[in-house]
Amino acid sequence: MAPLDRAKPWGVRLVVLAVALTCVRLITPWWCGRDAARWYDGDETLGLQLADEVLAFEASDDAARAAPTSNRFAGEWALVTHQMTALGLAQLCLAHPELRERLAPEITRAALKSFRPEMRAFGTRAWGGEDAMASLGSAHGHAYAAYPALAVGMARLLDPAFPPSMAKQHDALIAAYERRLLASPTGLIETYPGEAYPTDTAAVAGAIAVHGRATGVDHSRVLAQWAGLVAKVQIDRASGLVVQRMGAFDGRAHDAPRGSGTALGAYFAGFADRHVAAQLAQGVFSSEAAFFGFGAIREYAPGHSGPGDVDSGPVLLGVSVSATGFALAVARASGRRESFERLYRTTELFGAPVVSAGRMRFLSGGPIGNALLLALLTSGPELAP
Amino acid sequence: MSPQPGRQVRVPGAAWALGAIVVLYFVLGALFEHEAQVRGLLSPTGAPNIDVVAIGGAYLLVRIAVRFGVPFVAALAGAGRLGAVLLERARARRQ
Repeated sequence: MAPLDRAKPWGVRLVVLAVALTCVRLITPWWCGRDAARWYDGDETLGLQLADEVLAFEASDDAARAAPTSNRFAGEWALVTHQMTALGLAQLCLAHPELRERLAPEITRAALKSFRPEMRAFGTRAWGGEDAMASLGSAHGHAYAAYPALAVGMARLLDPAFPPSMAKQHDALIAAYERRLLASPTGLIETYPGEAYPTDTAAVAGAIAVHGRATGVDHSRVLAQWAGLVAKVQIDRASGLVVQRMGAFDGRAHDAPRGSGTALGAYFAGFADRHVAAQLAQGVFSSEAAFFGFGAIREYAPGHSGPGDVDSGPVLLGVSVSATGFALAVARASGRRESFERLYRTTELFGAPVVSAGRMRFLSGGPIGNALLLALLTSGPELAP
Repeated sequence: MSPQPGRQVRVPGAAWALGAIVVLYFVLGALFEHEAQVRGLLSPTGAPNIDVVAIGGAYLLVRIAVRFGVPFVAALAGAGRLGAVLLERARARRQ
């Protein structure tokens, strides 16, 4: 067997090569995208398989927390893991209401874990020891605490047994965010001293909006003001991407317009305002790079470049891991089926999902990857009315 | 093109290499799954477990090679074989 045998004329050899490349173009995307359509269509079985994996992690985390050890899962990554677990489970419940009774207590458990002081210790350190919940009367933004606030809001929306004492703390945080955002001329509030991230402020807006849905409090004024300022101040007109980091008070760019912040911001904005989410989605998908049936999102807007960082993950050939993953949610929520399928193929290839004992996990992602992908692959039902 | 009776069928080097990569793919996959499950890519404090990350990196490289390489080599072999048969027939018809 010598496929490109020297006895064959060049024409035949070229045809054989073209046939082989065509087969790869057809077979490999199909192989990597076998579950894409099921995820896009909201397949309950797939969602539950991944949900069961993140719930198993939460149970093991509870057990580790109960043990006398100082080696606990805490900090920024833990906060995001518990937050995304709560959001993913909540989205599953909204899509499949019959799961609500079973999952609602789990949503509350994960959301409340993300709300623990040790999870936001990185932010407390950045503010010189000032805790977000101990400084609600101050003008300091502490926007990072919107991540757990959004998760807690979804828990309150879905769990009638949500503890009232925690609901009071949540009410107080949302009231502080509302006051800070109304006072902001840029539609931004600080995450760290002097630094604002439009993505984090989108999480603030999402948390305020979900609080309104859960409690019936009217937040329409602050949300309308924020939505107007996103377009005016935060979106780079040339690329449609939001600037990753900005001055909270003057709205000056401290970084480039970037895909990872825009894609995650679009997901969070969807909780608050569909129009803002659609604007950001437009920017995200104008940065899509497609090759051989696979899709990925470029990290930097044209004319900008830079390395990968904690927000983007590794940047390879100009595309970033985080932007590509976050864009799955944006594609699904905004009805971009073909983009979703291309992005999913890339996620499958590098994420390496496996199913065993009825549970699905993405080998490359670990607990945070599983929690993120549960939220991102089930995005849609959380969109603002 | 069936082999003559008593003559040993020669397995080409490409097929051996492909088989080895597929076996490596399954072995590394099982190893990575086990290590990722038992120890995880990250320690609870967020520091990476370098050896698990290395196994994961190797697994992903082999996974990409298998996902693209297996269909390519299989299609190349199939199309090559078909091309050879058609060429042979065309030559026979000309003679």
